[in-house]
Amino acid sequence: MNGAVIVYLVYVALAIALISWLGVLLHRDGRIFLDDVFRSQTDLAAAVSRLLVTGFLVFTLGYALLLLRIDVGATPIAALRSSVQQFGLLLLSLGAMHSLNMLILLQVRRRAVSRRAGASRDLGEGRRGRVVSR
Amino acid sequence: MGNALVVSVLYIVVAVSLTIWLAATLYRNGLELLRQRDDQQPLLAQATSRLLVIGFALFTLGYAFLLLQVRGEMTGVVALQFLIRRLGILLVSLGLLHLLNTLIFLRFRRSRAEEDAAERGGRRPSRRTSVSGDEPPSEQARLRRGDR
Repeated sequence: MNGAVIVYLVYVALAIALISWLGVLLHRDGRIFLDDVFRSQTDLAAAVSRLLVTGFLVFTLGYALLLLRIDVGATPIAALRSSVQQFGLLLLSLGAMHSLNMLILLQVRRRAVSRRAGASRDLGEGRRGRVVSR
Repeated sequence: MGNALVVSVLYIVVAVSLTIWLAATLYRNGLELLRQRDDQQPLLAQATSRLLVIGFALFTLGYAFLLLQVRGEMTGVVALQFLIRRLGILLVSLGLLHLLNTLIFLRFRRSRAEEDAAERGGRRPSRRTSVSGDEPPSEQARLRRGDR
C-alpha cells in the first residue's frame, strides 16, 4: 500500500463521517419541523423523516464516490492535492444541498400552516382547537 | 479468480443488500404513512405499500444489473476505479428514486385521506373533525360534500 492509497482512504473515511453527521443532524432537526407539519402525529413525522434521510444518505454517498478519482501511480503530494480538491467540492455541494433541504422544509411548514389557517376559517369552530397558534 | 469476477461479485452483493435495505425501509415507513387513525380497511394500507415496494425492488434490481457491464479482464487499479464509478452511479440513482418513492407515498396518503373525508362527510357530518389526514379536506372534497 503506497502513500496515495492511504490519502484516498482518508478521503473516503472523512466523507462517510461528514455524511453520517449531516444525516443525523437532518433527522433530528428536520423531525421537529415535520412534527409541526403533521400536527404532532409523531409516528408519522418520524416515518417521513426516516424516508427522507435514507434518500439523502444514499444519494450523497453515491455523489461522494463519483467525485473520487483514484490514481495509484500518483505521488502522495499529488494525491493529497487532488483529494483536498475533491473534498472541497464535496463540502461545497453538501452545503448547497443542505441549504436547499432547509428551504424545502421551511416551505413545507409554511404551506401546512397557511392551509391549516384556511381550513379553520372554512370549517368554523370544529377545527379551531387543532390549529397551532403562531 | 480474475479481477472482473471479483468486481462483479462485490457489486452484486452491494446492489442486492442495498435494494433489500431500501425496500424494507420504504415498506415499514410507507406503511406508517398509509395507515389512517381509525382505519376501516387495515389491509388496504398493507397491500398498497407492499405492491409499491415490490415494483421499486424489481425496478432497482433490474437497473443495477443493467448498469454492471463488465467488458473483459481488468488490472487491479482499473477494476477498483470501475467498481467505485459503478457504485457511485447506482447510489445516486437509487437515492433519487427513493426520494421519488417517498413523494409517491405522500401523494397516496393525501388522496386516501381526502376520500375518507369525503365519504365520512357525506354520511356523518359531525365526525368531520376526526379526519386523521395531515391535510384538511381539499377544495374539491369540500365542494363534493356541499359545504359551501
